[in-house]
Amino acid sequence: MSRSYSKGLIAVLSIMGALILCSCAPNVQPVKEQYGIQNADSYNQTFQEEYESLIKAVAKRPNDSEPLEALAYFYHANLLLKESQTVYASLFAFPDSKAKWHYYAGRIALDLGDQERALEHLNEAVARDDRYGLSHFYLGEVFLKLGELEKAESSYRSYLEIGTEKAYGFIGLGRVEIARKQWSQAEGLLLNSLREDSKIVSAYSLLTNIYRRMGREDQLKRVERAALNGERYHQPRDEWMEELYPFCLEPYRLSVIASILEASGREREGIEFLQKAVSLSPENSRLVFQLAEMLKKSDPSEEVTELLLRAIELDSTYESAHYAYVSELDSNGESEAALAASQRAVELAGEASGLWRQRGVLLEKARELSGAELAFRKAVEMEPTESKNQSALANFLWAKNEKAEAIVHYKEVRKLSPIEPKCRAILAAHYLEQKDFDEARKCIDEAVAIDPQLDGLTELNVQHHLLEGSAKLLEGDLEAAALSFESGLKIDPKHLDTMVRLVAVYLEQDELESARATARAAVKQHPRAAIAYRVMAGVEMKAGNAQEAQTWMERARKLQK
Amino acid sequence: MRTLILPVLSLLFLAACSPDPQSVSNKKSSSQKSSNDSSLSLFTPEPIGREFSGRPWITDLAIVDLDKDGLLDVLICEGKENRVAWVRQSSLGVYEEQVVGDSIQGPAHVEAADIDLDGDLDILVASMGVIFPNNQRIGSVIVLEQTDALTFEKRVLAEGVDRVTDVQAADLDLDGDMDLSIAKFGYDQGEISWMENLGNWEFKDESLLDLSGGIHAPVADFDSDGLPDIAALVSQEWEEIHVFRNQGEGTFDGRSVYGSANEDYGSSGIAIEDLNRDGLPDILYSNGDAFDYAMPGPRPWHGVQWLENRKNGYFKFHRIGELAGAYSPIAVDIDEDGDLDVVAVSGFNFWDRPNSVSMAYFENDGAFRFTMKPLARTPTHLIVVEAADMDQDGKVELVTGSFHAYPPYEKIARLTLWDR
Repeated sequence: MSRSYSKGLIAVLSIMGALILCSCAPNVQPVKEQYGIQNADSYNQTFQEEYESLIKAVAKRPNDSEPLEALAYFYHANLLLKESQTVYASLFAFPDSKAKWHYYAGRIALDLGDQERALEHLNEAVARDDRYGLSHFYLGEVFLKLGELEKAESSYRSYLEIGTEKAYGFIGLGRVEIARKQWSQAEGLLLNSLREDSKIVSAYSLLTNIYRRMGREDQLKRVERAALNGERYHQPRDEWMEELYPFCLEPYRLSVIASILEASGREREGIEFLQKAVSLSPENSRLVFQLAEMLKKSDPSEEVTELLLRAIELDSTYESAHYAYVSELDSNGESEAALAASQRAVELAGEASGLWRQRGVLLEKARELSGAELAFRKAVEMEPTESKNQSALANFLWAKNEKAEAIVHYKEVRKLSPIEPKCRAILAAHYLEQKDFDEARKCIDEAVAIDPQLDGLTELNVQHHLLEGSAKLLEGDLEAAALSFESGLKIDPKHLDTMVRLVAVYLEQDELESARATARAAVKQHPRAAIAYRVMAGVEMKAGNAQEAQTWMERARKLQK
Repeated sequence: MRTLILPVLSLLFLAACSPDPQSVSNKKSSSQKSSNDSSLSLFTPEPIGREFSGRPWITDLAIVDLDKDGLLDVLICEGKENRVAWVRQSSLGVYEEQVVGDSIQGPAHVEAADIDLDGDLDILVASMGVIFPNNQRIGSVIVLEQTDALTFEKRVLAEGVDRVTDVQAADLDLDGDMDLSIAKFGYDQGEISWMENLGNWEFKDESLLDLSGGIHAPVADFDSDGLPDIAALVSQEWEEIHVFRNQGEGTFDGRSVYGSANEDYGSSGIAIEDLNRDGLPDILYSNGDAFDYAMPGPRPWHGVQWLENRKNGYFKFHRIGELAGAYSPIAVDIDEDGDLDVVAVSGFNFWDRPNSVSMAYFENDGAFRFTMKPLARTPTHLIVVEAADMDQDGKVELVTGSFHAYPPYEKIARLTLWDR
């Protein structure tokens, strides 16, 4: 082989090598121009690698739908909606275009508020495969929003035939009937929905509205009570959309998926997505905290404490993480560790008044009362408009018997929070002591409206009527006194003190039969109470039945022995 | 040596075939950045109102000359402090704050109107009871009546109702007094209603729509029949805008004019503006509410749109543009080219990312094609903006309120005047 020949051969081989390399490594640039995203470098490493690999796959197999499909799912799962729209549009050109792709494109259009495109894609999805229930369901949703009620009804009915969670179909049909102002039909459909699934809050909301319209107060109240067991963010399970989840590599989106799954009672799956989010973004303290909180609800373990500590290490000023960490230690019985962690919390994130309040509670529990008081006062000083701070200090002072100052803070709580019943109950008792019956009544009524089941509230209510009635009696206003006592007995028909005083009023008013009936009820309800028999004796005495009165007095004496 | 050269040449060749995509995209974004970023210096922020510490919750504001001294003032709702304050412009550029209504729980909306028609301005307040989700009927409608010059007396027009988010005044039944249009968010139950003024501060509530999630209920004559109509934004899982056309004598005929089937759309506000200046009031609409999940944050569908009034109760939906966490859309001619642009703020964004925008305007090219331009990246967590020529220099200033209810607690502000 001559030297010049070998030189020529090397040159040829070089060019061939370059050409071979060129043909092996696909040219990704046109693909990126067509489908690429801007600022890919702002995403995490795993996301970037997956993105590059999917782009390469598309470049390598430009006539194949599979890599393009993967790219579309990747974008869609990571909420790059416009980009995924572009890729789905290319996928539609393939002869084996799937119903699912049209469904996904329809859902994106729907998310973006483009109802015309949503209809186009969802109709196409149904045309290609009419067995996926949610294509019909979302068609119903769009038609309903567009006011095309007959089409909406037809779509919801199709969903009812094949959909797995029929409750949503009934709600859709119910809404169609509401739009038609056909209240009875709507009621029937919504009740059907609740029979299928009693947890969907929207069904209760709509039913409440219908009962309001129809003026059916009893049913309205029943539904309002039942609605308290409903769950918000309860959505129909969407298997096709869930197929996208594994493609998600964006931590924030994973956090949202986890929240949705948690709200649907699927905590374990939610935790897996959060774990993925944390592995993708291990420095994100909020994700670590969310994972700890979700783990705590489903499976309390040591890992929770570790995660909370990690969240704090990542962000030492993270108040919620400090708060949760201290609470966790305390509820695990590690009081000293909790106190130490609380000290650290106020040092590192001391701008949060809640951490001072929490410290006050821990110190009070540890009987370090002066420290506790300082902490409670610090919380109030830092954030006087936070009702929890005022309430915590008030409770502390009340327990310490510094009632006058406690009352000042309970008054603040009442002013700040319309949803705090305890302060109102305490203030009611305070106003009763002060004989300010009007203010006491207001406090009691507010407390009853907030939480009628609050401990001691019924007794307080009866006491109000009792004391108010007694005051009226002293003033000589017999009618008002009787009214107060009667109101008290409506709340607690067995209240002996009230019965006794009411009998006294009736006797003063010469209403003998009413007095006798009330006294008899007292004896019946309290057969071991001597006073009931004495009252009965008093009634008979007043009626001129001395013999009977004597008999009742003897029974009273026997009981006293 | 040659064996090394060959692959290097090949790589160079490949590199020449396919330019670095990173550099392309960076170039693109940097050029975008420079053209966009110039808008950031259009306004100069300046805090107004009282000194503050902690994390303010300004839930609403209104610009009005309350004392009629020729200088515009600002009324604000403080959601955490449960009060309404008047930030008075006592002399040009000098602002002094005073509380005009306290113990108003969860105030969510404020505006001034002469409710009793005595010639001075009273203050209307929508009180939610508590700002955050709650099912109890703890809402109220409150008027701070101006009894003597700048002395206000609190009157409760309704209480123990679903949480009230909006109250606006207009003579809805054309009987010569001021009635009220009301939005009640509630939680599981809410309502859109109007309150008929019966005289002597007595009002009768008439329900228009029983759906949870009412946010705004502004009044305008949409069908040009001389009768004031009511528009209403209903969020929660409904995500709908309704218009109630006034039929006269206190009757309304309502229908949905837009609805999103995305129950996470995040409807956050509507405002009435004649954006295309055709004499018909249009509806500006933002969607950016995002408090639903463990990590509050933006959604790719957040943004601003307008419903063009096409007469006879028909409205055409137009997307204006994307803005993460969009709130409080208003129409202002920011670029002073004669057409109306749209300003909105952001309550929810990736605040840990330094480039996240907290206020932007959408520049109108005159043909209603809009380009988003950032106006601010700090302070963050803005949920309300209003515009007016505060300093009487012929240019519009903006005033924003911050709602710092979730982290990060940096870049904090309370009430900011954006001077031009």
